Amino acid sequence: MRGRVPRDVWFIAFIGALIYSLWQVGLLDPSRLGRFANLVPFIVQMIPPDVSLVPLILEATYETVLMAFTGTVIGGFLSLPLAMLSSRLLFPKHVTVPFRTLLAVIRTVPSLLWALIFVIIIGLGPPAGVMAISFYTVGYLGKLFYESFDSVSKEVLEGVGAVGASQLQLLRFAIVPETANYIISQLLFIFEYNVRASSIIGLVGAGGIGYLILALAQSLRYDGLLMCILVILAFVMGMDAISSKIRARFLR
Amino acid sequence: MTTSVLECIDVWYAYQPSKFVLRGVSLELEEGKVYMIFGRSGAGKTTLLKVLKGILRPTSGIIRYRSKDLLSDEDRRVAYRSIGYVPQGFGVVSNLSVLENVLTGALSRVSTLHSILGQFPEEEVERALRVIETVGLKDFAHNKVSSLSGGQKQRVAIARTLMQDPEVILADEFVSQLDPLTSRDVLEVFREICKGEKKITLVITTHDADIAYEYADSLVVMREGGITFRGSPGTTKGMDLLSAMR
Ligand SMILES: Nc1ncnc2c1ncn2[C@@H]1O[C@H](COP(=O)(O)OP(=O)(O)OP(=O)(O)O)[C@@H](O)[C@H]1O
Ligand SMILES: [Mg+2]
Repeated sequence: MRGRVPRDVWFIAFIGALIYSLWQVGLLDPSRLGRFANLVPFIVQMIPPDVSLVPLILEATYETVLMAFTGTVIGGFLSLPLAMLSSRLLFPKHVTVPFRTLLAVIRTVPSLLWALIFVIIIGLGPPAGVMAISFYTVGYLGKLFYESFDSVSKEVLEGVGAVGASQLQLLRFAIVPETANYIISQLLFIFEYNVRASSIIGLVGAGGIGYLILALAQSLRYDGLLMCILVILAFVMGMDAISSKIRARFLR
Repeated sequence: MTTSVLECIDVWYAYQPSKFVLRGVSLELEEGKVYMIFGRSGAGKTTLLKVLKGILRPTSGIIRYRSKDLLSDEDRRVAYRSIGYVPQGFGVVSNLSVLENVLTGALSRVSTLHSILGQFPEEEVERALRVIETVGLKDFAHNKVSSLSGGQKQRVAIARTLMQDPEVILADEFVSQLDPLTSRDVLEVFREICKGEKKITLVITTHDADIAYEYADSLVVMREGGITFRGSPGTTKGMDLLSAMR
């Protein structure tokens, strides 16, 4: 066929682009590759993991989970009204557009940057972390919620609307029931995500396990670092299992 | 003597500027009669029902409900409650129970605050249960709608419109998704209610001529946004319908 690029050409172009990028980011530089040897002493120093740190790590993990939980609840709570105001089914364009833009702006800033901002504003520690997580959550859930509101079948809205229901009644009897499962499942999902995110944002001083990891890394306590990673791993796996069970119940 | 309930005169409608989907439709619906509207896909049946219901505002033309002007804002609200509408896919809320779905039919009679809190007056709940029994879903009142079959969902949609206490019911592709026996059951139920003490006018769009001959008082054919035929089943031959559709 004329005008079609053969598949092989695509493949060669792809490989070429890959090699070019590897070279550009410095991964093909032999002197740098040599430094991978540093991995060996690093790993050696990690083993065995420092079990004596477990109580401290658990405490920090607990703080992280609390941060994630509080941030998710606050963020989830705030994102509902914002999502309503962004829903085309409920409000005209001159209302939805500004709120959608607001949510987009919030989302553009990564959670780590929010953490930095709040550490600067309200100082080191978990409150800054909670604020950062709430903000990020609002941006993310706000969008998911208004999208799910807008995806409610037109026929359901027409069917319930035909009885003469008001906007609020439509929300209560059509939109919320039709999207409730999705909302719950997304809340669980973002909670999981926030647990991971709040371990990271600790790195900028917003408290929790990230803060501990930073301290351990700076004092070269690699065996403690490994212990942290193991605890987080166990925790995240456990949480994945529980929340996927819960979500399976809500999403048919 | 017959009285006209709902009437449209020379109604034009376009979704996109100057691409008219309804071209001068005039139709008078009489109290307590059953109308079946035929027409090929795209003829404008759904659009006509939506215009009659007041979901779409016609580009030009007149719509009267009991001789009130439906296009004026004041009269519109009253009429909106008195005209029931069942969309093509029924539009029932699958995550609510049958009873909750049927109760939504009472929403215009309940204060917003009470309804948001899920509080419906005792008499509305009793009434909803009676309606549910009428459509034969007594044993399913507390089941989620998502667990029902297609025909049962349809009965929920009927019950909801009946709960609204309308004088006219506009039902789009009402029995198209059901097998012939079930659709007869559903129509039987519907006809009984509509010919009962309170006369309800029924407008149904369909593709099924057999059913129309059995249940309609009046057959209406649409083609390319206009009405090309009107007649009663007794005097209409199948050929007349077909040639009006083509
Ligand atoms: N939302 C819309 N925007 C633009 N055009 C539309 C819209 N809805 C319907 N139309 C057009 O209007 C015409 C009539 O559509 P309508 O849905 O009224 O037909 P119908 O007779 O109900 O057909 P069917 O038997 O397939 O349900 C079609 O040509 C369709 O493409
Ligand atoms: Mg249609």
